[in-house]
Amino acid sequence: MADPQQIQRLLIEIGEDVACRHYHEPRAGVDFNLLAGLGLLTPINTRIPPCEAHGCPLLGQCEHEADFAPDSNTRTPRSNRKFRRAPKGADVAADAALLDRLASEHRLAALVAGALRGGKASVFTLAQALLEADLAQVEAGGETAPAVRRRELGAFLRLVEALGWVQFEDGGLTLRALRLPEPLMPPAGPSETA
Amino acid sequence: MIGGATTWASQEAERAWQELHQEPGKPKWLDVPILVRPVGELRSGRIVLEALTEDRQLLGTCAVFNGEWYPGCPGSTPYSHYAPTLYRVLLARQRREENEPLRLQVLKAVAAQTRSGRLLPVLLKFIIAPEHTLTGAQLEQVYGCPLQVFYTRFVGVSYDVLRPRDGGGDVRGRAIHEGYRRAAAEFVASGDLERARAEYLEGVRRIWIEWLTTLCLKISARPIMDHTQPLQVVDEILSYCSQRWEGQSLRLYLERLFYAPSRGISGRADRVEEPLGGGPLRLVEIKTHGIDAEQDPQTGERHPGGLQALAYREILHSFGEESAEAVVEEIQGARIKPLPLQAHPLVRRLRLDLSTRDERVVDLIAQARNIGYCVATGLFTGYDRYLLDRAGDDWRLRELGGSFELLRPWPPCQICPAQRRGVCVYGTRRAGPRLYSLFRYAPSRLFAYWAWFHRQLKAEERASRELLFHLVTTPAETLEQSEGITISRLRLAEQAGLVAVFTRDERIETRIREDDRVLVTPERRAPGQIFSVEGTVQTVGEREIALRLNDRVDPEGTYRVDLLGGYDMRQWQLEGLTDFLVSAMASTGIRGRKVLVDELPRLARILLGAERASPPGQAPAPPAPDLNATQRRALAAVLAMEPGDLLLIQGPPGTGKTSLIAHLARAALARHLFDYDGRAPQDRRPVLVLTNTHRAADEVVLKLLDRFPEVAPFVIRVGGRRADMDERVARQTLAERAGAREVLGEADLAGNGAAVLFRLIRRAQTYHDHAGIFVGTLGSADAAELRGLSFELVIVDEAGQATEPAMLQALRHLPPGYAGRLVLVGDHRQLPPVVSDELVPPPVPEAFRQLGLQAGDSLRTSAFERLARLYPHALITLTEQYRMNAPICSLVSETFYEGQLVPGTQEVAERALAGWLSRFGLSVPASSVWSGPPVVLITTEADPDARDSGARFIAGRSPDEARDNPREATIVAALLGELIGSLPPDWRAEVAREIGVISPYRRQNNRIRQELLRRDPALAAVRVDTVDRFQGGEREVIVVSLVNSNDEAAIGRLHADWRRMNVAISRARRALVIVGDRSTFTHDPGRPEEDEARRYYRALFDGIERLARQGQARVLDSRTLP
Repeated sequence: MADPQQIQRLLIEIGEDVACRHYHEPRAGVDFNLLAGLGLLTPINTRIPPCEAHGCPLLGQCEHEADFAPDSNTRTPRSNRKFRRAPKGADVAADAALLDRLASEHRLAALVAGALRGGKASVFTLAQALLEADLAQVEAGGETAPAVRRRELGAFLRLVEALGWVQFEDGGLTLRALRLPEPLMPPAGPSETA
Repeated sequence: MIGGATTWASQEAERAWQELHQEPGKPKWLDVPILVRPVGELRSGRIVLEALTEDRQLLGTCAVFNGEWYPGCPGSTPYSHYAPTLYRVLLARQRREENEPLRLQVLKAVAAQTRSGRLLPVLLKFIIAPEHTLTGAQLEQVYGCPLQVFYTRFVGVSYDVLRPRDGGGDVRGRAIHEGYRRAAAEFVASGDLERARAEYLEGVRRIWIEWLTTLCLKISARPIMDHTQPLQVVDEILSYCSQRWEGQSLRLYLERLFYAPSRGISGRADRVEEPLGGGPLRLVEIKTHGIDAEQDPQTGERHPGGLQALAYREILHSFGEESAEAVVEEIQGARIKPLPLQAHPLVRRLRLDLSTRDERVVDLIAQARNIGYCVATGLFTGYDRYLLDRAGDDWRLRELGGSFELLRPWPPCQICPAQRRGVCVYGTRRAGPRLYSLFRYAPSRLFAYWAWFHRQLKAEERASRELLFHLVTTPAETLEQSEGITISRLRLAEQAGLVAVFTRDERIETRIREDDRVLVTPERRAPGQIFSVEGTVQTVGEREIALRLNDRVDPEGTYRVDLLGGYDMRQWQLEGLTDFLVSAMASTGIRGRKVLVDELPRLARILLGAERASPPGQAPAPPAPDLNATQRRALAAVLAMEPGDLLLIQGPPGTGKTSLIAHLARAALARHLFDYDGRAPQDRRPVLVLTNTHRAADEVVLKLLDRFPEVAPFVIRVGGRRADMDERVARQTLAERAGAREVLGEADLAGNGAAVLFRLIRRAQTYHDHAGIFVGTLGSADAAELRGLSFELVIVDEAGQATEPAMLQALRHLPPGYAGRLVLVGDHRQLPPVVSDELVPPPVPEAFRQLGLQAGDSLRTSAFERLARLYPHALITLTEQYRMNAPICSLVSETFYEGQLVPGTQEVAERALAGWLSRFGLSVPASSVWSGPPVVLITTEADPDARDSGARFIAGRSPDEARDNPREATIVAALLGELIGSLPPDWRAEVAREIGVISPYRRQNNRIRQELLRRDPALAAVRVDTVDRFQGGEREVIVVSLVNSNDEAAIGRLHADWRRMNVAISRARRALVIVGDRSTFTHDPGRPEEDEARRYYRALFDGIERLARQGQARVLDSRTLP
């Protein structure tokens, strides 16, 4: 799930508060990496507030709480786990229709559009493209983190499905292009099937 | 003990007993085995025993007192473990109603003078049940923490496989060991340092390729010590070799099996050096890391390997090598620190004098050995819930006596799975809430289920632990003739590298076959005395046996080869079983009170019969035009499963189980493809397929690659490359995907090896992060590829062949709380799980009806069979088969599947031998059995020459498997010789490859192979094997040799399981020939346990007669054949 209304509801709920991946992500069913990639959320990577400070409803029950305690000496990374709503997030909270344009500006839009050059593509082709991107990064001696997270791509695909750009067929094996935004419209070419 | 060995041991015991009485009051070192039985009521401080010789001759009454006290002794020994441990062992045996006498290797005793003036032999030091073997590494574990031994070796607590666990240090150690081993062997052989360096690097390379996956578990930004140390230490090792051995003449024995039957200890020392010019043997134990090593509480120094080296030295002494020296070589950073045992902190703190026979050395070893035996076999607690929980009250298990504080002030909790799982209350590193009183708080049904299977696994383990003792104490002739597990009087004919061929003049008749693990020993020595080399059988011929050995053997002298048995799977089955108990309890979140069965996770409740499995649902599935209707139904049902659901899919022979599994895996991958991320905190992946055998796992991978090449980038075959692996499957292993062989093969390891390795690890990690379908065996649940991963869907293939505890390994990779889907695919009408022949089915409590268990069930009853009985509504049966032609299918279907099975297509139904041969321009020989109907029965009941040899053999361990039938072997060879002989020579081997011969007996199979070779060398390509090894295979032509033919109508244990016959005859595609004595199988000799089997055999032979009447089968009298 990641339809525009759901994202809008989440952004309204967050408001000016701190959004925590461990609390909001499973409840809203929306991938925070996608929201950050769309520019709707900004990660808090310095002076990360402890859970108590932002009144997390999971206080005392969350296994991650200790990671953010002021006296914590854990080695678990704390970056990209707590967020604030970005200005674009406030805009989308007011108007969910903005997501269509923001999605077309997302870095994954070109990857999806490229795979759908022929009108449809196997989900395995998309996944293989991610694998090859990661391998290229390793060969170049780059980061240990993957170039693109599959889960983020999955969330992006569900968003653009909800936006009516694409639809899944063959029991989820194939992705077909329905309406791609103008800048991403592929030139006509041979179709690729699952 | 059997025969001469018993007599000799009895004479020794009698002599020692007499000597003891000659010098009253003087403790004497005896070192003889006796048997004992408690007399009267057992008392903890004073145990009275009746002593017997091995021949069961009464020696007299004797006693054991606490603290090694005896009447008239100057003082007792504090912390002595002998009496308290013996008391617990005897008490537990009494409770289990084990009335056989207990064997003790009496080391020291005294004939004490009592107040009444009577002489009472008092046993002071002894090894309890020396026939039970513990390894040197286990002794060290006991010495480290006896409670850890209790949890890991007895209870079976293991690490949580859902938590990533690093193993880089282990690989580093292996690389150094392998490199050092090769370099030492090369330097001693050639004296050339450069060649030794090349060998060292080759050893490191080999280990890095083999264990690359384990190195991938640790994420680092640059090369770390695990990558660099094996290369840093090479110069030091070479310089050390050069200093020690330059110009010296010596022989090295590398990683040889050591075994002392009188001590109940075995092990593999890294190296034994034997100076050829004379001088003491030097035993070397190499240690590369010591997180769990002894630590001197005063200096804080760690010194691993001390007890192990002492134990191996003691084994050498027991062989008569009294002057042997021992050294621990500790490798720290780039340095080697040789530590002579005399200077080891363990020895220094105890002030042991190794230059004389210091009894305290024996005490130290006996303490670890005896307490290890008592704890690991369950004699400490049995299955008493209270005792099981109370065992954890004190890590030293004080009730057993002994001292464990010499070098370690606290137990090594950081490496203990029981501590990590919260089962053990010791230690400071908390992994989560503790599971206090695990056994008492477990629901009764869960505990009873655990204990019932656990008992059987421990009973099985016992036989394997006693195997070495049996080999050493039984005359080779008896082992060869009555058990078929030894081949003696062999001479080395050829040795190329580590492959050796042994021959002898007499014909070899044995149960030993290819792939068996064996021990090769010069006949002047007993097995396990340094000179024994372990190996694997490559081929067994009429008068020769070819082996791949771990080390080279001396070309002189005669040898014996002993069967060691296969890889012991009991421990991981135990771990699967106990993991179910621990995980089910932990996931309830309930602490401090008894848990109710209804509070367990749903899947656990289903497995325990406390909640019905849901009937199969139907969900939209990807198009699958190549599946038939029942397969499509199964696919839709799997996709409709919710977390916590169980589904059973029965796949009779040839019904396309593997194709279905490939479809299931691909559909689940597509569904969850974008749900998972490599290295995410809770790393969930789409599909795990676990099989009972490597062969089945390979077939699943091949099917996936053939049918769905687009998923290949996301498929990982768990484990390493194996010699018998298809090349395409091997390329799906993680190391091969990353190109380990090529990259490391071309790299200059000495130059930039660590950097190359680091880059390779990153590549492998990337492939691993993207993988979504993992395929392995049930035994690989703890494999590095799977550590830290949970799966949405876990499929168990060959579930009908897996024991229940083995199947439970699959649950370990479901998400916490078993919130995933479990699919068992199998067929309970084919082979059951393989368990020890000696397993006696335990009583099945009435309450176990709730579990679907019934009288006669045991570890041989698979979870699939039990659950199919319990939830027939959750079972989908595949009914269309694609292997057998219509007559063979009809025979199988009517006999074993109530007529449900049908050929999947017309082409399958009409398959015929003539049609297949005609494809190659060949034809069947006219007027032969091959030219008629596809099913042939050759009956031997009227043939006086066709009697089985069963009666010839003395009752031994497995006399059943030693049976053969020479006449049947001749008939089989003649039939196949006729078929092959009619073909042009160029085609013979080609056709022979599509023929299979099946008999349940190894000895018969060896005989048939020899007969076939005598007929035509091309018949070497015929696969001749037991049913158990044929399951999953198929051939155009199958010939079954029944073997059993006797007046007693004895069909034997193997045939008594009728499922073997189902498997045997359902391997055939186009032609099936059964050779055997029908009356032996159908006659009723009044053995109720065989009634069910005989019903099936009658149905089978009636079915052949029915087919014969329809012109689809033929029945021949063997006397009409040559």
